Amino acid sequence: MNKLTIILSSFLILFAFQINFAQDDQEKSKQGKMNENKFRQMYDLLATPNSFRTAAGAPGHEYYQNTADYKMEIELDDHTQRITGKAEITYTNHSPNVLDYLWMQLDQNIREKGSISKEKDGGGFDPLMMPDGFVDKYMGEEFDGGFRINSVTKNGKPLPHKINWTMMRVDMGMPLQPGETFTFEIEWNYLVNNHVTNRARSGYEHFEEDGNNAYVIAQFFPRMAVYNDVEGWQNYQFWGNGEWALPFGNYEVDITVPADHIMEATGELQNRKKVFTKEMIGRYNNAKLSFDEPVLIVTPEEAEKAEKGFSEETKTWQWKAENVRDFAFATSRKFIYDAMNVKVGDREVMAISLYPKEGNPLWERWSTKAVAATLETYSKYTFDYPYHKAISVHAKNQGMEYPMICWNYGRPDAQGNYSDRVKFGMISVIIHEVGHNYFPMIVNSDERQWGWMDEGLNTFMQYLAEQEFGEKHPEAIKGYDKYPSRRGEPSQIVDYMKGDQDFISPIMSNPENVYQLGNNAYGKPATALNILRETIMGHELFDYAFKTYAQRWMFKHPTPDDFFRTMEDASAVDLDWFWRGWFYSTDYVDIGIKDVKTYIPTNTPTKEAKELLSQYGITDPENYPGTADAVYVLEIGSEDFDESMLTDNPLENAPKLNEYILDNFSEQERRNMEVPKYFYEIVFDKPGGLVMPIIVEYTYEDGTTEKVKYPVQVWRLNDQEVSKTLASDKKITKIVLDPDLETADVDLSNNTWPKEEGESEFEEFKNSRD
Amino acid sequence: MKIVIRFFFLVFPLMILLSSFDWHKFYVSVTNMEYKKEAKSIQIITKVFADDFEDILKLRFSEDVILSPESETKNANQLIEKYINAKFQLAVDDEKKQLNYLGKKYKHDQIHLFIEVLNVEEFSRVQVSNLILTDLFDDQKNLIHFKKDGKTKSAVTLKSDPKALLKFK
Ligand SMILES: [Zn+2]
Repeated sequence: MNKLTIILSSFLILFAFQINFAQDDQEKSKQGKMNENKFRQMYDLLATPNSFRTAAGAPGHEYYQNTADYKMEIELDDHTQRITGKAEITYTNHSPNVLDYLWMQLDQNIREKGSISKEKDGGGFDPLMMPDGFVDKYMGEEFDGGFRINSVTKNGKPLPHKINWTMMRVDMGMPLQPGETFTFEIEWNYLVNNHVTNRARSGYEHFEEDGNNAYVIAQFFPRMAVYNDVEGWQNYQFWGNGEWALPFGNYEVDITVPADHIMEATGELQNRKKVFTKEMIGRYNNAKLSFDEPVLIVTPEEAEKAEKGFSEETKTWQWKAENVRDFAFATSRKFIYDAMNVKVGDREVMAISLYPKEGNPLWERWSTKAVAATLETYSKYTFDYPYHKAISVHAKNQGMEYPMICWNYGRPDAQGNYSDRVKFGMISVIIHEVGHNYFPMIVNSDERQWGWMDEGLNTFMQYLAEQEFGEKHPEAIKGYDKYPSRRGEPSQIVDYMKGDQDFISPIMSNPENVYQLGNNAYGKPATALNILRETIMGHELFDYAFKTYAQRWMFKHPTPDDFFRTMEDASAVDLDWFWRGWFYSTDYVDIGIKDVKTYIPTNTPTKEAKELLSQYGITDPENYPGTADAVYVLEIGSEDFDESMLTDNPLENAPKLNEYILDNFSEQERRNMEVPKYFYEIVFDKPGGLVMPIIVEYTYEDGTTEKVKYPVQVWRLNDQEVSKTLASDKKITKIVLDPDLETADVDLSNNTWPKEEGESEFEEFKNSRD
Repeated sequence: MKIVIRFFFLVFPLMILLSSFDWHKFYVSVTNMEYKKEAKSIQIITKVFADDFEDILKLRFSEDVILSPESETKNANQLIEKYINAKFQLAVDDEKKQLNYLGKKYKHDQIHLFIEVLNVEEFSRVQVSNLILTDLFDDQKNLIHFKKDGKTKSAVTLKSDPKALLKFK
């Protein structure tokens, strides 16, 4: 049986050759070219490996990273919404290079008066302008943000420094040698923005009804920039899209706020006994014992009472964090506080939520559980969550991540009602922002240059975590067969990838230079990874390689190359074609069925075969020793074909094949042998630029189906068109390409044979109304 | 002046100065159009984010609109139709066409709006003006795909550049 198939397929090769000859003839006059093969290796795109970063995608034996430690005293004035700070910063040069100066990031300066970031986009007068837009653009009073740097000193003596918009150079007096440490002090203050009206990644929300503010504070201190082997000093200003590149370090931060505030922050609380009531400490200890349900540490009743306090006293919360790349905190007298314990590997982690009463009844129900589920799923696919807690804070309409703490939206209406959309939006954003602890807080990629390295990887992981959340909490997805993720599945990226090329950039673009950041840095890379896992590599190979990447670069600074290399190195799957197509180009997937031809076997040389053989000097194949016994395939419907050739016994037209079978197989073997009646040649074309495996489902006349996956390598030698042959004793009635929508094929109208227009979404809708 | 200022406070929260950090808040709609030769019709599906769309209906028509399958406002479809006719226009070979809003479907956090244009004879150019949601967000982008005779032409419209001309042939 197997042998027969092999014999037949080698005969079929005869016409495959013939096609190639025909093409060569037409293309003789073409010019030469460089290597444009889609499968060429990425030597032209990847950096040359060195002792800092290896060709395997791992840190090299001389890999280094500098550290920045902060001791800070911060005070928040709730009346004026001004933060005043004092920091002692210790920077350590682990690089082999002498550093002439230090660079710091002053991200608040994007909000200074007259900030040039407001002029970063072009555009003429709007053709029509709503009164509000006009007011906003020409009449609004400008917010007076940005850092006021009061002093930069060393041991009390002023240090020369130069502010270049969102960055500041600090001159140390003498260069910092390898292995040396430099400690200096900065004092500053700034006006905190309202993050609801003046959208930003941190700020406060004002609650008109009770007069309170809820603060979610980050980028609140001058932060050291990253110096490393690939960028030198990070020198790309903060224009608003590309986020941060930050070194790891240890933090000791004392934060003074009104005495009736409840606070959470990056790091371990050092003076819990001073800032928590006795009751709160008792409940906190209970929460440590609760692994199923969150325990309230500040109740809604207590928070509502505190809302009315407006204490003029202050209280200082002391925090200590080790090996974090940033620091953020949330504080308000409006916060309700709940927590539970989560087991992650052999570690225990507190999952915590802070929310004003406006978040209920949604937040008390799902926030902490979403935090816990996120830690479980992400830890399984990367590494055990290494910090002692993860916090979700409710902010009206933003989602934003920091080490151990993040802000998330999702608010019921004034009556406490919420739709499924609000609920799933809230659970999804919590999973996403808590997930950012892994990428980029711990696997610390350069967000300023590569938005996709944290957003894309994280959105991919978010999809896995959402699906697992649905499985863990069936009551949360009642009415749905699975969690309704809005990114990750291939079909969801089609509308973007098939779009106007003038408005699409490759994934490998700086976040400032893309047209649709959501699709560019989140949706497309997440989908690409999902396709790698489901369709190209398989779960086992993908998961091992992805985990290897996460663990190699945990608490380090990876580049895109490190990711690309590790995924191949740890799986033995060459993916250069995939990175090149999906990450470096804006090509899209469109594979179609161009033609299906049916053949029968015959001993009579066909016209095509004769032509081919004559090129080798064989003019009389039936009598030429080498080809006397050859079997040919004749296309049904072609010139030489005759209806009478369609018989029940396919060997009738090929007596020599019949003889061969009689001579070489036993009776027993012959009885089990099914001689194919039909030989198919299926021609696939590829209007899209991306190469992908060809996934085909064949349906036979008896209703059975067979799914075949031709490897992507079928496109190696011809990027336009490829043929596949198939021998079968059953007639094929239908062929469908990519039947499960795994590849993000942008045009499905060429995916079926015979051509069939399925009911479109539009017609389905229209018909359902009638 | 006072009225303007009040308006300012009402609307300002929805404006975007520094956008994009928000993990899903990237303001994009997608409109898929297809010419059906036999039926002489253009079938249009416009996909918008439900929460944004709800916000703009509230804002424009000063009504408490709820767009959700669980508790939809009674006159939601009327308001949507009114809004679409104000913000979306289509001309075939320079002849302005009447849009027929058929209805909508909720899908995850999006709404799919179904619109049909009837009596469309063979043509070679389509002019689309799509300002949907640009009155809510300055950086709203509207993606357009038009399929005719197996070929798809695409464009993006913006508040500052709301028109797209798609040529076939
Ligand atoms: Zn994110």
